[in-house]
Amino acid sequence: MTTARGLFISSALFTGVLAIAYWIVAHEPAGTMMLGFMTAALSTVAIYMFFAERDADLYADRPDATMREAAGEHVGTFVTYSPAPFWIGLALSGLVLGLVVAPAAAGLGIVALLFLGGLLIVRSR
Amino acid sequence: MYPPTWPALGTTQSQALADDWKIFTYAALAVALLVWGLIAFAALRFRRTARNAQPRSQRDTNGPLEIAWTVAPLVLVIVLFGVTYHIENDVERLAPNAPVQIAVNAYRWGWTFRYLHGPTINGNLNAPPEMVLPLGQTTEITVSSSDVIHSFWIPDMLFKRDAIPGRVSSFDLTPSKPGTFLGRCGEFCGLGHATMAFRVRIVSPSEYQHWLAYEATQ
Amino acid sequence: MSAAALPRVTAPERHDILSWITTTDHKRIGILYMGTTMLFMLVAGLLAMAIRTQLARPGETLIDAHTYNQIFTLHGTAMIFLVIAPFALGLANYLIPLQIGAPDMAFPRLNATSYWMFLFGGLIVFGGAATNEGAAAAGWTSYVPLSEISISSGLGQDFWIVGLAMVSVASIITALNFVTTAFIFRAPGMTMWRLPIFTWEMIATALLIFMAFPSLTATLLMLFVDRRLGGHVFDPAYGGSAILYQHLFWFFGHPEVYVLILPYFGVISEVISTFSGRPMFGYTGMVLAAFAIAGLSMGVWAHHMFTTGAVNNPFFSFVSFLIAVPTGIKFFNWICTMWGGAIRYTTPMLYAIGFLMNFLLGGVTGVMVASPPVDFQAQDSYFVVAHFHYTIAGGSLFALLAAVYYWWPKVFGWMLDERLGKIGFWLTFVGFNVTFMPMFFMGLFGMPRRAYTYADAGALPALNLTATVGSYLMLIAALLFVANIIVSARRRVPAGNDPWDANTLEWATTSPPPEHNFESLPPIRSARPLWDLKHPRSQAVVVKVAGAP
Repeated sequence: MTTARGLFISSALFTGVLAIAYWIVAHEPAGTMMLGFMTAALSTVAIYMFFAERDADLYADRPDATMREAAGEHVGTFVTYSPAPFWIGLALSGLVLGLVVAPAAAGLGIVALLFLGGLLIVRSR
Repeated sequence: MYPPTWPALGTTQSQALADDWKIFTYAALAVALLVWGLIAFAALRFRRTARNAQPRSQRDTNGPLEIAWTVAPLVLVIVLFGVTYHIENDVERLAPNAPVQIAVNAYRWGWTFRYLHGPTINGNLNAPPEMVLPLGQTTEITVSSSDVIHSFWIPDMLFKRDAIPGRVSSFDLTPSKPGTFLGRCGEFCGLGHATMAFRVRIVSPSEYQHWLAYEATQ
Repeated sequence: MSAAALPRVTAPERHDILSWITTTDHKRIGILYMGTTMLFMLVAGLLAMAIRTQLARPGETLIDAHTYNQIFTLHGTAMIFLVIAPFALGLANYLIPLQIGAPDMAFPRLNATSYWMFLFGGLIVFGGAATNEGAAAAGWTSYVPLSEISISSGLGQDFWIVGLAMVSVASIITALNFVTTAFIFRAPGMTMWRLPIFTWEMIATALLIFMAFPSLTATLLMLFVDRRLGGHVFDPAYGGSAILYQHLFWFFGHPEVYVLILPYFGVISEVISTFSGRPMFGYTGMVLAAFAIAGLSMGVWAHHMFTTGAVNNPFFSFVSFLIAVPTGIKFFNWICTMWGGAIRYTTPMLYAIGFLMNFLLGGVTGVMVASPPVDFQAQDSYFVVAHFHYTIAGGSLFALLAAVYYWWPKVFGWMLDERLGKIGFWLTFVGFNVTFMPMFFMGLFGMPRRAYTYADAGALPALNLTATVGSYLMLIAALLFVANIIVSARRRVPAGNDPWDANTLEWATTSPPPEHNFESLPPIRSARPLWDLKHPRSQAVVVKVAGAP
């Protein structure tokens, strides 16, 4: 994880330097502000990785790791199906369209979506 | 009126701009030709044939070479930046007390030219307005807009400046060539954008005085 | 990172529609993503044909101004947000787990959610065309005040905003998924410095998405507040600022163009390395250059605003020039990868070389327009239209086609026809250059972009007609591509695991890969594990070269 950590730390440093340089050269608030936000966001990840992931020890990071010694390493649980994503996507589009077009239509849409989502869950069991 | 072909370079500023165009075009073409040549050579020379059946080497680094092709472009762009900085400063310099000062206001879809101590010219899509300028005298143009963003663009003078509502922005033109030039809107502004034009007529200073006098009687 | 092993939740593999709707398998999501972008590309391409047909001669009345404005707005929006960028996301979805030897993405359900949000967002953007006043018509940049409700009152603009907001959030989710996957889920021995270049480029892309897309989402939200909730964020009459919108938009918009190209740099690297039979030259330099481009691209946004007179032109000009340096490094590395190889001219390799040729012109003209004195003429003229089509169409799109031809056998298990592919390449290459080369001159001669008509004077009619002829050549090439898929699908020439003699991990599994990707993995001792497998003796040398720092 050293490389990954270094990536975020150097990105945060770079945008920080850029923000300062931009302020000195241009004295323009909007861009400085955005670069500052970006520095803060990247620093958050960098600090997290620096402290929380310090002891991370992956077989992937050992240049000489073999498949055999890593056997049994738990890499995660992978579901291969879920009705939720499609439903979430549809529901979100219903929501944003409702915001734009008409609250009444949005209400009708939500009822339809509930029905559809329920159907999906039942069918995919 | 100049037809849309090679820009006529109607101002002294546009001659400096044209220099920048030339320097950058030649630099771009030189780099492109060199790299195109290298690509074509590598692509043709190292194609797989009966005599070149296997890759000759698996070498994948070359320190000095990699440093060279990092440093050389860096030097090139720093030089180019020097050129561009110098020319931009020249072009954007505002002369104090320009003899002609015009406030340009853009709107959907037409232009208003307000001469300081002079006439106001108005025109729209059906009757494009005409800006008359004296040859050789520096004109300070201040652009703004009363609705959306437009851009005051005279292609033959290689220059445009955006007309932004709530902002004013100034630049100088020094006409160096008599004639009528086409100007147009350079920033998309809706239905009339394609035909939102104006004309700039460059006349001798004495003709310009006559024009002013004539306009004053209108 | 180790924890007690939990049982995998698996279901028998099904292929009905419901199984595609509920899938969270990264390969299926990748296929859905890429298939969707191909359909969007068809629509956006036909819109481009409408544009070129309208502009074939001066004073054409086939399309009126309002329709034309909708067409180019949809064409630009779709190509940027719904085709070139999401195709790369789909491809990476498919490839990253395979290239790093992982069973799936880190967050499979989030991954599927991102796809459906993208699809529905895209449909909403296009759906705007069905509203009363038609689709959004303010250009893909939708500058204020033009896109404010007082000027563009149509619902199409609102559809555009909310649709893109969904696409934007979907991209951020996917980027998060990519980075987590590439950091945590690498196979044993696959250290960061052994990652295939494509995966590296996607990490850089994801970083860019993190930095740029939140700005887009926020800007769209502000625009929505202005339009629908009576806000005045961008309204100069109430102390708002039109320039602020441009700052915010391009703060997203310029990194976005590197989101459009970095993944394709990765594609080109893989293709050139494979067909030259050589390792990627300057691997470390290649990776660092990708991050240099990503970093520098955050400091160049206002080079789109040189003509506003409201920004510090020299700062943005200088940083923009600097981007030429890492891009140059990439070019020289590609050339040196070919150098000393034995290049096989397959269709993907042809597209890769076409990419190098076209993108180079896009790159050097990019340096030209980064010089404000040049930009004063080029800005919003056909010169920049030519410039960015040389990078996005001549570059990204060529690489996209290279990727399609290169990975098609892996995805479907059968080959695309090489002869039709090569004819298609030459038609596309010639058609592309005939279309866009004249546009450099149109721009220099003063033709503004986004204009539905032009005067019958000077060189413009001849140049425009040439461009239209070229675009029809590309249309023929597109039809040929569809024909190729149909013909090849009938023939189904089996691909085998490794049809191209390639060296990254995705070629170690079957074509198409099983649901969990790998039955077994070869030892990973370099960036080219399959090369080590095929050439046992060279292993020691390779380890030294690509060893972890």
